[in-house]
Amino acid sequence: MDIKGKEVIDIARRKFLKTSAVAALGVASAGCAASTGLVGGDASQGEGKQQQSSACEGQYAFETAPEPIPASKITETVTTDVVVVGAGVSGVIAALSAQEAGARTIVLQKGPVVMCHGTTFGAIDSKLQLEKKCHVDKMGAINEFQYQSLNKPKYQLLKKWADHSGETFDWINKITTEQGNPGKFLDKAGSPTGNTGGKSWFNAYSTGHTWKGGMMKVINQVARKAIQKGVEFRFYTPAVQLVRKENGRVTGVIAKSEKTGQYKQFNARKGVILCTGDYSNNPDMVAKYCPSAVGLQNYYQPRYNTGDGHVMGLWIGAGIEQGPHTKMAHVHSSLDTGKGDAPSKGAPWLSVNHKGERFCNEDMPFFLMANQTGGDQGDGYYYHILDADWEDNLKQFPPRIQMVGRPGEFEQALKAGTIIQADTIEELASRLGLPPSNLKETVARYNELVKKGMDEDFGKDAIDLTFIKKAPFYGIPRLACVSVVLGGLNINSNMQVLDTEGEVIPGLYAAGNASGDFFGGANDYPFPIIAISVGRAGTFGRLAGKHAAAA
Amino acid sequence: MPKKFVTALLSLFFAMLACSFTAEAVEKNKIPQDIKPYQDSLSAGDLLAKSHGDAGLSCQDCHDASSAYPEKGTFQDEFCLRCHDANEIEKKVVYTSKGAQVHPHDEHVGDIQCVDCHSMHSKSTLKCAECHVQPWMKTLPQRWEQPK
Repeated sequence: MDIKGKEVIDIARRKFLKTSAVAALGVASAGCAASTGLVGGDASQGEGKQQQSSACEGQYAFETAPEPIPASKITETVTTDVVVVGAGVSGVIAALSAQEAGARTIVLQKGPVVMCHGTTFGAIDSKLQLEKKCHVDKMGAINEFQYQSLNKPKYQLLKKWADHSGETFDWINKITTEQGNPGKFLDKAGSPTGNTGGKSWFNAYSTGHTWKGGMMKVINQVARKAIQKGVEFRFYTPAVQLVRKENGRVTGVIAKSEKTGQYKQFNARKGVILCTGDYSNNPDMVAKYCPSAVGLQNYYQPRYNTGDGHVMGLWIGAGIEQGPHTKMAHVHSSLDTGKGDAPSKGAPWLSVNHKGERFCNEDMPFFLMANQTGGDQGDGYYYHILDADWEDNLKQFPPRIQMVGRPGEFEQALKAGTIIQADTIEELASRLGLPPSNLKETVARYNELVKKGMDEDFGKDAIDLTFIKKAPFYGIPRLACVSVVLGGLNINSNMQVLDTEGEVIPGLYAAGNASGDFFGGANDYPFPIIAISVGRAGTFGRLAGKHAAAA
Repeated sequence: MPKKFVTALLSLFFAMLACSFTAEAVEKNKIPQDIKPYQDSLSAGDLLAKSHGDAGLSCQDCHDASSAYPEKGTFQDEFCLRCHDANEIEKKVVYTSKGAQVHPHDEHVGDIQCVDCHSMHSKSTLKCAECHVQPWMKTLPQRWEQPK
């Protein structure tokens, strides 16, 4: 199988024997031993190197604050009102929002371009929703989210999103519409009451909004508008340290040019907003804060998301959301984005693991499969097994997310090699790299259960049981891999970063995945509110930008 | 005067210039073997330099003619845009992916220079393919590295 850039987060190679549960964060200690990890004094891993740095026993390297970069090493000093660190969904939106509110704003970005992921923006009470007479039960939605997140999120943050996501979507949509890219409300996904009348795994509120070209297109359009309005973008300029004296205000940020290696200081009269994204490409941080993502591959390129904002915050005394943090692990055909994904990953066909054996009730949604296929259980891959009647199966299965593909998509996937075809189960097994005798046995047992109309092994609903008898047979490899990990710095509902005592750190904000307290760490990303991740990033970026500008 | 004839004349003129340049380099620096492949790439092979050679350009049109032999240059976009029109390029270079139009030169707000992808004397590399590969990227001419 062609797996591009297979980079499993491997905890076994990171032998940090923890002697204490939580070590003091952000404080350099004497007598530390050298270890390999995130470079002290350099939050950026954009240069792709790991160096020796000083870390205390029981601590990862990133937990030890580096020596402050001396003034003598600063080659350029710029003073402005607001500095936004990171040009993704939350950063670009924060920058334009701050600039529109009258604050001169500079954005520091790692790498060459504006960069984000995602396709859909979750919002309540957008104009498009209201035009469709869709009145989402706001309190119902956020309370369901709170419940599914085990009552761990800061409720006030959910409320803030719910109250401001609609207006934020409208504001973005005006900008994209001016540039010929109007958004649309996905009224068929979910329902205003959250009850779809379907199955419990996709009872979702209809909050999804999208644009052609997804969030990358949208955020580029917002960035173009921001440049028009006078926002200055500095590319290849990742921030590496915040500037804070004692327990005072954060007065700026120091960046290090990826082209020249020179340090540049950006002083912010009003505030620094951390919008650096998540840390899923920082293996030490994943091991410490999101252990359930260890052992899974990471879907997205480039691997810039190394938790730079998180660690810079920790180093100056910010508090971080208690772990373990939430992960979002979706399913793709492989890491090869050129081949694309095979359709129907949401279909409840027989699923087997790398041993060719059933491993769970296939009624489980695809976005929870990582928990049965990664880590000690495998490399994240599982395989849908189906037969010539696959189209009839899709008509039989009750509707659910990502189940029915577009016309012709199945055939395209066969051509691209993301669906494998064979005349016998044994041949299919060998082509998929599975033990043929195991797969044959699994299929035989499964057909027995279908005949009985009862899944005695895993309790799958009878309507989701379909025979695998008629050639040709098909196998569809599915890779459960990390999209993002969701946990970050403690913030209040103005997006101001809090210290370890819960007090506001003046001059410092965080939004998007650099900020925390929203998902609560209830293991995996819950789905009752469609696209709440991107919706939160955009909404909180806007609120942070406005608040900082008014400071 | 027919355009073809003018082009041929110009080519001859530039070729002569290039030859004299190289002869000088041989004499002064004695490293013609280092320069030869670069010079040859103007008149043979399938690299981008050939297109520029075909258009009548010589080494000195891009490299500093005052030094003894052509040195590796640092080319900012402004240099390329002396001859190439950015709007024309934008109009001309359009691909299709998943039913949508892709404008590789105008998809991302950022700081990407022409030379980040386009190389004269070696294969060009698609910077975009570092993050995502689309089918059109595998249809480019020989002078491009094939994305994996």
